This record gives sequence, structure tokens and C-alpha cells, in this order.
Amino acid sequence: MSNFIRLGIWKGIAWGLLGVGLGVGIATGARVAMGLPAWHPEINLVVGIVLGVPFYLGGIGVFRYWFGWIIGKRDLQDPHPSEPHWTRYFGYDINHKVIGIQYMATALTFLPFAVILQILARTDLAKISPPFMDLQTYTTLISDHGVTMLFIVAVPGFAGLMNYFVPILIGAKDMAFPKLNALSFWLVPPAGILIALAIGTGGFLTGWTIYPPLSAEFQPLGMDLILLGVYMAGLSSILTAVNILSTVFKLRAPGMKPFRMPVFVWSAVATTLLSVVFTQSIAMALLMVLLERLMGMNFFNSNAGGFPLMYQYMFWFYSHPATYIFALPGLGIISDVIPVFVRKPLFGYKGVALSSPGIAAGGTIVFLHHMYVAGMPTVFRIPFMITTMIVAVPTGVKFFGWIATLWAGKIRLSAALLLVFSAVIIFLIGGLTGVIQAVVPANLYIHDTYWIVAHFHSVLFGGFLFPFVAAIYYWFPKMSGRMLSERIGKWQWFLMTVGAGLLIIPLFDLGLEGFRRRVGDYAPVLGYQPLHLTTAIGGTLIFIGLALMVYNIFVNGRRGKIAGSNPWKGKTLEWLTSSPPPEDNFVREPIVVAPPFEYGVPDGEQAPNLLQPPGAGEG
Amino acid sequence: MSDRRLGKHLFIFGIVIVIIAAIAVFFLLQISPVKNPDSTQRFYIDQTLKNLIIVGAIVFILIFGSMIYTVLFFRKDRGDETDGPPIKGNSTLEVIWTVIPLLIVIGVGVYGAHQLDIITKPAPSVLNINVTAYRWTWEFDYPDTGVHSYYLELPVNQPVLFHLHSNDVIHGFWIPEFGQKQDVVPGLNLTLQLTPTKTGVYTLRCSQLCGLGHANMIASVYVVSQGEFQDWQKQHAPSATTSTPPSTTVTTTSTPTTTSTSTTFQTLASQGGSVYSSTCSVCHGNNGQGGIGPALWGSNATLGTYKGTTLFNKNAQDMLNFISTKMPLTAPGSLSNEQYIDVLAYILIQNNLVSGTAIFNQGQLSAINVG
Repeated sequence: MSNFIRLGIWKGIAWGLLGVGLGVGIATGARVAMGLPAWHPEINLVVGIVLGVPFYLGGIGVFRYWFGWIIGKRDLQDPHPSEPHWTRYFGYDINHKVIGIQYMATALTFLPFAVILQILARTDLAKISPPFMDLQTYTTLISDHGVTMLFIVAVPGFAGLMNYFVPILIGAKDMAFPKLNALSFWLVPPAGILIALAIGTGGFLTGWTIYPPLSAEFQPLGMDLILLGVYMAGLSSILTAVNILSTVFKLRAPGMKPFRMPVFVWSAVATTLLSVVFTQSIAMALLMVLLERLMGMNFFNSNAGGFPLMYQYMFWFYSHPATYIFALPGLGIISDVIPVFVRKPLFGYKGVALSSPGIAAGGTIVFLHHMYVAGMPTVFRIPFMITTMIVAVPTGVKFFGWIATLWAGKIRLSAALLLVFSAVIIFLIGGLTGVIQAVVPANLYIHDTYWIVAHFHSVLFGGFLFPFVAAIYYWFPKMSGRMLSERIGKWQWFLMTVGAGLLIIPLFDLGLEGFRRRVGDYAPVLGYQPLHLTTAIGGTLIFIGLALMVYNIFVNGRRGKIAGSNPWKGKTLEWLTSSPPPEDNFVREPIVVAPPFEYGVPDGEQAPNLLQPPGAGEG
Repeated sequence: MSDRRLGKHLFIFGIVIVIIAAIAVFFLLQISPVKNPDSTQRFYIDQTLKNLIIVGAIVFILIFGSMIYTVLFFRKDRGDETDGPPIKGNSTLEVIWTVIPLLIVIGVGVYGAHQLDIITKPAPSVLNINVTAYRWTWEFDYPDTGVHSYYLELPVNQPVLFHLHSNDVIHGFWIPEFGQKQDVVPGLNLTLQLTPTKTGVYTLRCSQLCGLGHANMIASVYVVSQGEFQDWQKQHAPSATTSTPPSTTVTTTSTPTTTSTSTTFQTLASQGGSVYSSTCSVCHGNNGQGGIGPALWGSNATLGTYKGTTLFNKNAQDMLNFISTKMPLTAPGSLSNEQYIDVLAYILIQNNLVSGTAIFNQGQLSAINVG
């Protein structure tokens, strides 16, 4: 009980609330001094939150060591408890494995929340009962679903996996900047809470894209919370990216040459390069919307010389590369899981590895394909169509590499591999429809219809959701030391795959029939109810599948079969240390001697004798 | 596994996949032939989409099929814990599967550019129409004749150039049957060219989320023959004072241009229903369930009061006065007197306040209690 009271998170919340109070007080005082009405909920609360977040971070303790260093206290010890204890996960901790799990737990907390929002909205749209929500609620729910999924589930979910496994996979003891790592994580929960609170504070009717002038002029307080929340999630994403890049560039174990890194690490580098280069663009755009809302700076108001499309250029400059941020780590996971369960080296490893930065590089110059009909200069339609479609080429290299790996292998149909198969097929649907909608004449029709919704749900299921779940089944034994139930895993695979099919296919159909996205009402005589109902059922099946996984984790995390260090007989570094890995990951420094996928080769492990402490068993 | 067995697998797989792909393409061609299109642009868009979906389907079948094949034939045997053959790659194969997709996408790109060129080619002579979008309705001006309208009347087979303006936020101009769309951005003068090829009734829909009323931000589009269009323009030119519904409005009964004594409420209401769905449903919902505006019938309806304020004196004559001076909120008084009476009849019948077979008599409206 005293452990519970001493959790660092309480101190953070208390300081955070104090900061909010102080900020509201300052804003109110300033308004009174300026002769304005004292209470303006938007301005007063936004100032409160802007002040509350650093106070909360200070209360958690993320600045303690930096400030100590500045004022000359250079003997502050890092918190470095040797015992694994559950209280570590609820307070300031700088071990990358703890932070990785904190990230993943946050993502898995907000994932069901966001799914439920959408199931509610879908059920209403299917019109099987009298409408139980008004258009305001409907539009808020679908918008909040999108924002939560992308910025609080997908990005932090992958950030958690990268945090936990990138240092281990390259043979490092920790991330390059452990304290910065803690700061990046602790920015995510308040961002998620702000985004969730937007529902109760008036909502926002802009979709996840937040286009002004709509977002700048006509939205209630909820819009400000969304802007602040996404801004903080973006800051977290940039800091994580800096950290992972530094880790991979500087902390690789001896012998860990670039072409000995698992594909997941290649993908992590590509992803974080995109984050660090492009996230500032959306952050700036969101800040400009916030300033226009609160301080009347007319960036996007055409009546005052502003330019509404400026936001879209800045937004998509980030948000197209961001779609690869959501998907590339997933493709890395697919590439790493397949060889383990097929017992064959990854076919054309160098090509598959290089295709990750290839996709990232190509993805930087395609963003205008989101704006074919938005009023951009039409001369850029054809060039951006061509660049978009060329991204399909490195993506194709990955697909053909996976198929060739499967060919003539000895396939073990584990839950992780089944989930990966579904991911490949669903991502394939997303990729092919992506090429189709990149073609301008087709896009003129399917833009802003359900086809687009179907496309990016395919991409995110195949690129994020299924690989993320597969990674949990694949790596859970390493993280906890215990095996998850394969039986439950296969049920989950079945439910989620059927659910994804039921969800996506009707959406493509609706899009081809010309049904617009983001509409909360339609004439019942049009007969779209069965398609919407099928989609709602698909979403529910996915939700049940995810609930099975949570059950599986809670039950088998404590009582599951002991995994041992290498249950899947993998050859990469994480399987050559104990489960869970020791505080510094390895009892001796790994000397890497082999590429990652030497299946069928005797003694193909990446580094020998990692389980023996130095001194023992030498010679 | 020996090279010969691998070769045999490849051969069998190749034959199976070619057969499946051929069947799939055959069915795709049957299911969605390019139909007689509603506009020139839609024809080329349909053609492009269909061809792309066929190419995509072939690639999908190739990859999906090969995955299914490997799962069927390359599973590990029971009790076999050994690894597979350590094949690491094949440069020739890798070059092939990089170059062929590159050639395919370049081909698709050239095809797409060619189709786009046809779709967007400016027509030599166009009918200009100024479109103004604001939350959540549309207005149309015909600069050549000065006609101003809340619905679109278009002549068939005549290229039309829409000049799009927004008064508030970004909207989207889209008539799905006509194919292409264009966002309407405040401060920008954007255009969109369409050529309707069939007479009929269509719906213009806002395609860019613009807030609460987005779902119902629609306007009716009537494509009529050249002659009918000329008549319509003459009737609605600013000098003309009479105003009648467009000539192609779908009616189930004879058109009552004046309310004769023998007209029943049901006759009026059938007209009123189409006025309601094109004009009133934006705010009051398709089923009168309310939305931005209050509910008009059903369990939530409180006719005559809104948020505690009394709007009119609880009889049908007052209600008529109210809606004909205050509605639609975005353009009060913009309907004709006949249309207001039609809508009134429709709403009264939906509320079961009058019998559909009752004879309409304007003098007795004040006797109908609507509270």
C-alpha cells in the first residue's frame, strides 16, 4: 500500500494540477488587469495547460538531473534499481525496457478507447435503431477516433517496441539518452488525456486532419485540447527519434555492421529519420491554428489576407511521411518474424533492408497527392502521381522478398506468423489501392469517399495493428519470461482477420458507390445500412480479438509456461540473452559475427556465448 | 529440397495462378462494364478505375496466391525440427522484381496522365455558372442571364464551367454521378468543368467536412434538354416574377400550380416531400428527427416552441406565416408560396394533424391546431 502511495505518477499529477491552477490564475489576473472579462474558458484553460504540463513533468522528476547538473550538483545518482518491481512502471525510470513497456501499455490503454468510439459511431450510422447520437457527437467521435489512434496508439505503440528492442537488437546497454527517453514518454499520457477530454469539452468537428478555417473559427474548447495534445505527442515523437537515431548510429556492439542489423532496426532508422525531419511541420501548423483561435492571428483567414491552403501544405508535408512512420516498423517486424518461423534466411536481405530507407526517401516527395482536388497548382498533379507510384517499387521488393523466403521453407504456423500473414495480405490491399487512388483521374472521384477510409485502414491494419499484435506474440516471452497461449492467439488471429475483412471490404464498396466520408446522416432509402452494419460488426470482432490478447497477457504474464531464453530458436541478439533481459541487457558485451538470419547454417547465432558472464567458459 | 522438386512446384503454381487470374479478370469485366455514363468526365473516370482495379487484382492474385501456395505445400513435417535450405537470395530475381514493377507503375502513370488530359481538356464554348458555398447551403448564379437559384438547372450535352466560391470554410463541390470533384476554398477562384450527358435529377453533395451540417449540405441538380433550359432561364430571369418548381421535378400526381378547392393535403404533401428533402432536411433531418434545427415530427418534436421560446401561435396559418418568412434559415422567403404550402401540408401530415384525404382550404388553416 505504501508502494502505491509513493508512485511517482501521483506527484506528477499533483504538481500538474497546481500548474494548471497557477496558469489559470495568471491568465485571469492578466485579463482583469487588461480590463477584459475575467473568464474566457479557452484562453484561461489553454494557459493553464501550457503551464501545467511542465509542472507535471517536473513533479514526475524528469528535469531533476538536468537542473541538478546546471546548478552544480554533479553527484546525483541515476535511479538504477536492480530489482524488477511493478512500481518502476508508474514513475520516473530511465531504463529503456521500462520505458518501452510504459509506451506499449499507454498505447494498449487508448486502443480499446478509440475502437469503442468508432464502434458507437458506426452503429449509429448503420441506422438499425433510432439515432442515439446527434451529428455533433457523431463527428466528434470519428474525429477523436482518428486522432487517438494515430498519435496516441500507433506512434507510441511503435515507439514502445523500438524503445525496448532496438538497443537489444544492436547489442547496446540502453538508449543513447536515457533521461531524454523518459521525457519523451511522459509527454504521451497527458497528450492522450487531453485528446480524450476533447469529447467532453464541446467536441470538435474537423476530422483528424483539423483543416482551418473550420478548425480555426467555429470549434469549441475541445479543439484547443486536441491541438495541444497532438502538439505534445509530436514533441515526444521528435525526441524519441533523435534518441533512436543516436542509439543506432553510435551504440552498436562491436561487429554490428549495418548489414548485420535486423530489418526492424533498419525500419526504425527510416521511421525516426522521417519523424525528426518532418514532425516540426505539423507542430508549426497546429500552433498556428491555436494562435489564430486564441489570439486572432489570421494565418488562415482569407478575409484578412490569410491563406487556408497553407495549413494543408504544411500538414501533409508531415502527414504523408507520417503514414510511413505508422507502417515502416510494422514492415520491419514482418521481415524479422517470417524467417524465424520459416527457418530460412530472409530472401534478398540487403534489398529488403534497403527498401525501408527507400520507401522513406520516396515518401518524402509525394505529399501533394492528398491535395489533387484541394486547389493546389494543377501542374503538380502528374509529377506527384508518378513519385507516389514509384514508392510501390521498394514496397514490392519487400513483398517479393517475403514470398521467396516462404517458398521452400519449413513453415511453423504460430500465432505470430499467422498474424504476419494477415498483415501482409491486408497491407497488400492497402498498397494496391494506394497506387489506384494515386492515379489522378481515379482520385478525382474517390477522394473524400469511403474508398480513402478503406485504403488507409488497410494500410494501418497491415502496417500497424497486425504487426504490432504479432510483435507482442513474438516478443512477449522475451519481455516477461513467460509464453502467451498460442491457442488464444490463433483465435485472436481468426477474429481479427475476419473482422478486418468485414470492416474494409464494405468501405471500398461504399467509396466506389460515391458515399462521402465523415457524414453522420444519409437518407435511409439509399440503402447503405447493411454495408455500414457489416463494418460495425467487423470492428466489434477486432475489438473482441484485442480483448482476448489483453486477457492472454494478464493470465499468462503471471502463470504462463516459462519461456527460457530462446523459445523460437531465433538467431538475433535479443534471443541470446535471458528472458527478461538483465538490467543492462547482456551479461557480457556481444561480439557480433554473423548476419541476422543464418537459418540452416550450423552455429548461425549473431554472437556466441552471450549467456555466460565474462570470465566463465573462456577458452 | 532438390532443385527439380522446386522447379516442379514453380510450374504447378504458375499454371494455377494464370488460370485463377484469367477467371478473375473475366468476372471483373462482367461485373462492372463501363455503363452509359451521366457525364463525359465520369466515363473516363470509370474506365480508368476499372482498368486499374483489373491490374491491381492480377497483382493481388499473384501475391496472395503464392502465399496460400507456400502455406499449403511448404509446412514443416510433423516432428521435423530442422531448418530449411539456407538460400539467401538471387540477384537476377531481385533485379527482375524491382524493374518489372517500375515499368508497370510508369505505364500506369502514362495512362493516368493521358486520361486526365482528356478529362480536363477545356471545352471551346462553355456555360458559366457561379457557385457560392456557405455553411450549409449552395447558391447558383447564371451570369449570362442574371438568374439566381438555390438548385442547379443544367442543359444536357453542354460543357459547364463552374466558378467556385466559399464564404466561410472549405467545402467540396461534387455531383457523384458526374465523376470529378473540386474543393471550394475561401479566397481562391477555382473552376471545375463538367459535361452532363443524360437528363435527370441528381444531387450535389459537399465533399469536404465543413462542420455540423456537412452531411446534409446538398442541392438538387436537374439536367434538362436545351429547350427546357432556355425556358427555365427565361422564367427565372430577374425581370420575371413568377416562380415555379423546375420542370423535371419528380411528381406522382399532376402538378398543382394553383391550389384549387379540390386539392387534398396528400396531393400537396407529395410535392412538399421533395421540397422538404432538398431544402429543409439539411437542418431538420431526413426523417424530421432534427439535427442543427429542431425536430419537426416524431417523439422529440415540439412544434411551435424551440428551446422554450414560442415561435408562433399554435395554428397552421401562423405556422405558414412563420416558415414562409423565416425559413430556410439561410435564405428566408426563397421558396415560392406554393412550395411553402406544400411543405406545410407535408409536415402536418407527418404529425398526423390532418388527414391526407382532407380537402385543402387555405381559409381554414387557422382552425388546425398544431400545438
